[in-house]
Amino acid sequence: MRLSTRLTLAVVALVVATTAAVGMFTYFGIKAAILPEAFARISQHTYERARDLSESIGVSRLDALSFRGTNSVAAIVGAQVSGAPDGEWRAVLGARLISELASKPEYYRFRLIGVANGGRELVRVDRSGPSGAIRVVPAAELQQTGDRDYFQAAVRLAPDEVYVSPVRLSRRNGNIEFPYVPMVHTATPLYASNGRIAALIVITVDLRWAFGRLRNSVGDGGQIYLINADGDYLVHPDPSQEFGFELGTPVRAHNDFPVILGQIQSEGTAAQAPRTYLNEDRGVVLAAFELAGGPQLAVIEKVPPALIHAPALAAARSSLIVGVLAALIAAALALALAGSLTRPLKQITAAVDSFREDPPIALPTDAAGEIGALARAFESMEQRLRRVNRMYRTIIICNQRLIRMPDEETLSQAVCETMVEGGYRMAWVGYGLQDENRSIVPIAQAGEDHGYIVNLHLTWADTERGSGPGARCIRQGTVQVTRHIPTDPTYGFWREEAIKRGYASSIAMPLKDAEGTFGVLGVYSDVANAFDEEEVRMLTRVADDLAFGIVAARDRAERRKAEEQLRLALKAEAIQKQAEERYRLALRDAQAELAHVSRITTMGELTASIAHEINQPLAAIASNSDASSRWLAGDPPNLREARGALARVAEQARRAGDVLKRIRTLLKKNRPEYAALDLNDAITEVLALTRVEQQKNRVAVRTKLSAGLPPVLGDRVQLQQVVLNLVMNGIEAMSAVVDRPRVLSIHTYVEDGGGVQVRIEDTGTGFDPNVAPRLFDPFFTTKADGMGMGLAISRSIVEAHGGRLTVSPGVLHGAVFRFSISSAAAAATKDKAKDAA
Amino acid sequence: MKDTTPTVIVVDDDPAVREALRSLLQSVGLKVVLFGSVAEFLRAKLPDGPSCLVLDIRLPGQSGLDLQDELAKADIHLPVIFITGHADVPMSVRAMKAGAVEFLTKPFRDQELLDAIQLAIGRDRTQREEDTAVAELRQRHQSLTAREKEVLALVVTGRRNKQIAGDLGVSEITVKVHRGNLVRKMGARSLAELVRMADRLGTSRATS
Repeated sequence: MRLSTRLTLAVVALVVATTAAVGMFTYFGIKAAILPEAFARISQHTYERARDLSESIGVSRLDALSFRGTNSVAAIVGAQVSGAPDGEWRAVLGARLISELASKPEYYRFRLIGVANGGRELVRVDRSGPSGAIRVVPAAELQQTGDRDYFQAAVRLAPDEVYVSPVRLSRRNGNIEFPYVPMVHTATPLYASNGRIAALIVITVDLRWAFGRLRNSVGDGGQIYLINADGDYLVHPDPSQEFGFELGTPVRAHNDFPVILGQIQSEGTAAQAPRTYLNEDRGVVLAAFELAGGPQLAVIEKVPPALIHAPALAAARSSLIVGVLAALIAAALALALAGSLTRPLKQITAAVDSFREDPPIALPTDAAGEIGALARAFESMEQRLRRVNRMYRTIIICNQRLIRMPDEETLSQAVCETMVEGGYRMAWVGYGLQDENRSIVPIAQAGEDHGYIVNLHLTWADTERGSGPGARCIRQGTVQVTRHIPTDPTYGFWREEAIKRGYASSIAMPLKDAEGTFGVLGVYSDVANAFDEEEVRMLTRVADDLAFGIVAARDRAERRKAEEQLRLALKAEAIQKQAEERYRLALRDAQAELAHVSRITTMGELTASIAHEINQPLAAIASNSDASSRWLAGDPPNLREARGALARVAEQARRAGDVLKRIRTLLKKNRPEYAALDLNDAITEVLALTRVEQQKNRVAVRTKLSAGLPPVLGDRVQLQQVVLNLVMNGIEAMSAVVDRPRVLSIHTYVEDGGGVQVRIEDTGTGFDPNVAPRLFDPFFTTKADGMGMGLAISRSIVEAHGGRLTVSPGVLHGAVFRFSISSAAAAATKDKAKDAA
Repeated sequence: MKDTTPTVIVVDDDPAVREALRSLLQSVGLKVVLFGSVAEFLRAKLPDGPSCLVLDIRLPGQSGLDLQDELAKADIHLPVIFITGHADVPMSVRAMKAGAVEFLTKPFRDQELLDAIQLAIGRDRTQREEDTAVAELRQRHQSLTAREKEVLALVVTGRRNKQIAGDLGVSEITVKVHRGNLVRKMGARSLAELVRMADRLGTSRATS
């Protein structure tokens, strides 16, 4: 919320609060003074109503008593007692009563009722004539009233006592008259001279007059009620609520005025004089009384609180009006005051708000008093803050660029530009070279230069040319501040050019790395004395950051270079590896090809063995099938033998198939397929294939194939080829031997490392130890018709399986070839280990 | 000689082939004896009756051809039928030269084998009869005196008595006596028969 608003609101609130307090005080004071009086007034009024009502009936009471003594009444009563005719007295009495009724409109009926005749009316004057005219009722219309309650009550009275009946609606012949006439009977007995009761005087009072008065006695908004002892309404603002007990739908005041009726009950019956009760909360006053010593009645007056409180409210209202007016005036005054007070403040606020704007909003520095002082203080603070802020921003931007710039030149350029953006006239960065001239080479520059730096031909050598601030800065590694260029003695050479370009003051800051000062950051301002202590401190930080950034950029560059070299090296390595791999694959393919060719060649040499291997089962098949035919042709046919022969046919057919499959496998040109295999099996198959060769050359083959050999991982065909080559070699090596048995021994056994070693030993001619190293060379052969590939291929196959094929001289004669293949389990572990590595 | 059912001796290292041959040969009512190797065969007793040898050429250790040679050396005239899974020409030539009845290449037709066996057994039977005759002849020959043997040897070469006497340095009469004795002892009815006898003896001697 704005200050002026707050000020205005405060003043208005003050005024409103004051007015409200005065208004409240007045209101409650008035209220306290008025209320008791108001209630006393109402009580008085009610009391008077009650008394008026009672009195209006009191007249009839007196009338009843006074009528006893009139002559005519006495005469009529006397005649009744004596049984003599009363002659003219009735007429006399009638005339008298007519005048009486005429003068008292509230008298409804006047009667003299005999007692001895069982309550028959003796004289009756009422208003039953045409249009309510008063008349003496003819004797024929006189009624028997012995059963009426007033009769019953009155005959029990002592002389001089008067009975006043409860208020009822008038009836005629037992029916309630309409329009309703509330009335009350006043009855008094007439005693004869013999002391016996002779007659009753009964005056029926029409209460419409009294009730009318009662109704009319209340002012605006007030309500008045009359109730009997049972609480039935006799008078009610709503006439339909009246006389409910007579009309069959009783309406009782207890529901409407429970509190005040409760008070009556607790205080007992009313005396003859009305007794008032008050319920201030509801504005109700009740006056209880006996109606002319007769029935208990109560007048209830209800005044609306508003009516009672009216004076107090009037006071409150006037207070409110005064308050509002006062508040309005106060608000107007406060607005004016707040405006004049806050205008300079607002100006200051706006200046603060627009702190970042350029140009800044003017401050009311010429304002008087404290505000003026505040504005001036603020202005100086703002200027300082603006400068510091600018410098900080410069530093931050410098640092941001420091991080992002890829190399030192860009970085230095960015810092220079940031400086100029930050309000300096020119900034440059130079490196002090370690050359002969100790030259300073500008590497970055920004701002108003116009060839200034380039034309300086700066040097940091300790010469006259090197006496400027930049040179000193590099030489000494300290900050050089020139407060006023036009007058500074060290600016000899450059002063003119500097002034031309509007440089008023300058600062040169050293750029340092771990080894010392390597350059300078120079900053020029168009203001003299621009570089105060704080600015120097901050700019030095920029210089330090720049130096750090340059060093970091150099490191980065070096690292990038190293990385690039490493990457190239890795790439070369990868290419080499790829080439090696390709070479290895090609070699493998070539080797496989060669192995295949060699295998086929070897197999060609084995045709005799192969034919034998195939012909054996074929012969068995042929013989068996012939045999079975013959067994069947016998008489009787020998089925058992025939069946046996046929079973053997099937078995041998399978055998022939297996042989063919094996041979085909050996002849097929396949890429090596590594799988777990049983070397003993593979060897046995090879031996079967070379059987003919063994026998032809009279070679005895001895095998010692270790049971429980672990499976090895390898290509079955290639490993069989190795065995085949070695077996054939051995057989051939022994072909010339005549002086000793030709024995080819084949052993397999598990090596310590878990691999399987195969040893093939012959008793042949052996080999010349001198050629031993060349035995495995390709195209090296000691045989006349040998190709010289067998051993070379065998070795390459074994090595491709990760094994080694070696040869050594036999114990006495011949040669021993050994090769080992790692077991499938060991190979798997090794692979895993390799993967892990 | 008591058991006249011919016996066929089979030597083959392949049990399947052996079993097949057993079945085949038994089906035609021949008696069969099976051996897996030469050594096994040599350890066994040869049957008395007419028999023949069905021999696989390629056998572990000694080959069929070796056995053939050995039998000949031992003067055992058992007719041999060679069966082989793979034969080359030199091998068959050698076998046939050494007197093999037949050289069959596996797989062969049963009838070929059976015919060969029939032939071999016939030959054996003849051989056996021949052997018996030669043995008797030799017995007769053994009954001759040394001088009579000398005279016989010269007679069958066609020398006349006078020449013989000259050769031996005895009288012609002595030669005639010896000649008469030896003809009687030998039971020859004519000079021609005597020559034939000497021939048979000589043959057998030469080969022993």
